[in-house]
Amino acid sequence: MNAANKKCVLELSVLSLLNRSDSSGYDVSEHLIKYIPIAGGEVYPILRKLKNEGLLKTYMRDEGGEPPRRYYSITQLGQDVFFAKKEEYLRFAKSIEKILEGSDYDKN
Amino acid sequence: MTKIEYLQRLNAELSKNKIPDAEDIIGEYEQHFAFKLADGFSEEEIAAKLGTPEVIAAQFALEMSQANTARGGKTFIIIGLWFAAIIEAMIYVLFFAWGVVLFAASLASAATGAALIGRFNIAGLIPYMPYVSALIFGICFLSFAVFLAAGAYYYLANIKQMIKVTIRWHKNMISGNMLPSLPVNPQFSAKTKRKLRTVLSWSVAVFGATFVLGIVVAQIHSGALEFWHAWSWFL
Repeated sequence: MNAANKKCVLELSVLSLLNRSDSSGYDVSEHLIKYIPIAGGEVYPILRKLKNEGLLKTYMRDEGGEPPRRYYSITQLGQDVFFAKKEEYLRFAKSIEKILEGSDYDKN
Repeated sequence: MTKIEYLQRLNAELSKNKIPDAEDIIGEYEQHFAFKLADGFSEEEIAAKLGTPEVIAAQFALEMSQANTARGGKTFIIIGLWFAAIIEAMIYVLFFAWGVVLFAASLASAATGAALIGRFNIAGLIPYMPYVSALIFGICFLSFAVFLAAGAYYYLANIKQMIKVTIRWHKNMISGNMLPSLPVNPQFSAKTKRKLRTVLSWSVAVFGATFVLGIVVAQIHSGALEFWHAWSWFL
């Protein structure tokens, strides 16, 4: 069960964001730090790792006047992995919630 | 720490850790500064929130070393997978060939049935029998043809699913990602399943019934248990 550690959760979150729409590294970073206590600069190593694994790809987008920005988009493999890991994580989270709430644990 | 200082230190740390494409990485952080500055933050604030260059560079180094160890082990896995793929391909070609044989047998059976019912005696291959027997045996061959065709279809669907499972397994082994493995049985819709079952059971029933009936009728007609001798089929 590797969805449990923080790194995997971060990767899963990044995949989730990019599964919705292509974004720049900055947008991903800004969105994540709203919810997860990490430094803004720590998102870029994750993006690079996912790219090296073939789950993401990058392209440059020109937005008139400014220098072109690097955008990340999810690959087919990335989507497959995302859906599989999402399922795995949600199942795991649900089990832990059950244990923490202790709803079906009766000592007689 | 100013923007320039931060980027220089990051650059130094990246080259210390021998991270490839350091320029790309620096570019990302430069972009980050540019956005934050546009939002009105000071360079010191931005640098403080990014995390220290040492920590950031260490994270890049960690990702890289993991990727490298994964790749080192992978060479063996990939070589092994190639050998496995060669054997698998041979097995599947063999399995597929059996499916083709089944279809061919079905076609042959259908042709024989049609010839019996339609009274085409091509090159005198069909021995003598009264038309009643020919009709019953014709239906018998036709139902056998249907049975073989349905069986071949089911068989080939199994092979197709097996190939899919194998490909998924290969993909998982290479990427190290665990996509859920596929079910081994072919996934028919409920409708197809019902149809297939109906066709198979009816064709077997008709085949069995006409086979027995055909022999009995032939025996009565020829007045001998071994009607093939009475009609001198093998002379």
